[in-house]
Amino acid sequence: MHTDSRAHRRTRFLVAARISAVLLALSAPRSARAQNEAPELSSLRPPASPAFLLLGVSPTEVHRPTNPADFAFTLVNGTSMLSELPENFALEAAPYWFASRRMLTWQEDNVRSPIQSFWRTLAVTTGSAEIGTDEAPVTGVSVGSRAMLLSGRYSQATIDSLSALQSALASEGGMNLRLAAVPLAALDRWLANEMGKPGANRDSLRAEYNRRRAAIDDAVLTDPAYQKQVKAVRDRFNDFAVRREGHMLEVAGGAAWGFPDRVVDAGRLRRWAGWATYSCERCFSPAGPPLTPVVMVRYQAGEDDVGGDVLDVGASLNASDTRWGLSIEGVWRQFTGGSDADALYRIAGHLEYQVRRDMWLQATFGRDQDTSREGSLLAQLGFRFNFAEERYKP
Amino acid sequence: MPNDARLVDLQFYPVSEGQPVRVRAIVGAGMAGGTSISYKGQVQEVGTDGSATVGAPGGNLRHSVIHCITTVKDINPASDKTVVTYILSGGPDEAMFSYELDVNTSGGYARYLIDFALV
Repeated sequence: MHTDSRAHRRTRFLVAARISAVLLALSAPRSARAQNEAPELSSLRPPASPAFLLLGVSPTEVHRPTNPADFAFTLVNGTSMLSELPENFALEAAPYWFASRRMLTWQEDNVRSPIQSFWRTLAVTTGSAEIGTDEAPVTGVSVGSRAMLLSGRYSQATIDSLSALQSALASEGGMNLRLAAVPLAALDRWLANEMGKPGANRDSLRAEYNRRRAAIDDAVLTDPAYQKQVKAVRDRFNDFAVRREGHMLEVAGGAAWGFPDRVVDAGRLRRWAGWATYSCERCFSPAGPPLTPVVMVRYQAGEDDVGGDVLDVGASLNASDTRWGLSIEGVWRQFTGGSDADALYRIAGHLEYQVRRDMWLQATFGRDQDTSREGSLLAQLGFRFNFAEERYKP
Repeated sequence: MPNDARLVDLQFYPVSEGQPVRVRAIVGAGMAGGTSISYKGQVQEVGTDGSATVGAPGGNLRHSVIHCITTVKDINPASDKTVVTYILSGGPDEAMFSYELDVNTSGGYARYLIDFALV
């Protein structure tokens, strides 16, 4: 099983933050919406993990297998050899990246066909959690997936940064090699001498060579001049994130089942949902700050106690730069499935400004869908902390 | 740096008498990376096409070593896996050597120290 530091960090910050944000801002039933919610600029986008959202959980640990063997092991381990329903289990996998993709350079990943985009962005999630009560235990199990059918292309700024990063990393290696020139020359002589001996064994030579090569590198890593150059490169690209622009179409879907007393035969579908979001960044403002129109359709169906059947159609216009973002959005909600409730709509504006590297000032204004409810007037000012230092990524 | 993942390896590549050797380093998995090579103390940063040539026609490269360092930054939000493939040509046969290494943290770095003994 592979649960590396990335998995843990994302688990702690991104998954919890995103799921809770989306849950609060958009997908919760009318009565369950918190009063202090605040939409984010990406609030009309599909959830990062549909399965967890439908289950209504923010898992504290998500397994992220990186190859088929990991995937199988995680699944078998979480289900006791597929013999029982998993308990408090969360798994997210990107199947395309199970393979090495050794010839896929960033240049070749720039522009994608719809099929390439789908496979490269496909993420499958599954989870389980206890969603009942002590008196009436229910095990919830959900599956979901998301992908982008269109994922635009790298912005020119991203291409420029990647080219600069490539050169900087090559220079970093070049400095290492220059600093190591003398011991490497000695190592070359040693290898030539050993290989010239009768009966030289390449495997043992290789092992000893690698040990000596690593020791030379260890010595270079302690060199203050080298450390200074490396730090400069790393500092320069520390916050770098690939940014795509152009036409983007994200789709997501998922379903959640409930199993009272963990009895399979008693299980029933409690909720399912589908999302589709189209956006186009910099399509209309190639020279200025990115102006992004977003159009969203979302359908959720399920039992009344988890929100009933709801169709949401929404649109927003986002403008953002590196340190600020502005969004105006409207969402029209129609209750379906035999409900005679009136349609609702929501109009909200949202402003974000980066005060510090990890802190954003947020202001929200507008009206929520159910105007008879306390807190339906949206007028909030607050701060958002972004420990992962990762903001909106298309 | 201490948190960088690192992979060290030596490979043997048969060369042809009097032929230079071309080294191509391909950073895969949609990641970004840069490569430098050193041959007899002369350091070259590999260009945007990912390749560099050592030696000259008529020279003898046998019993010498090409040192390569490729540093890769994780820019792929979907994967931690970095992949570097070295393709050597100029000998009787072209040879391809692929390596994989997971970065230790999201957005982190992986360093490949791969040397080629020319035989």
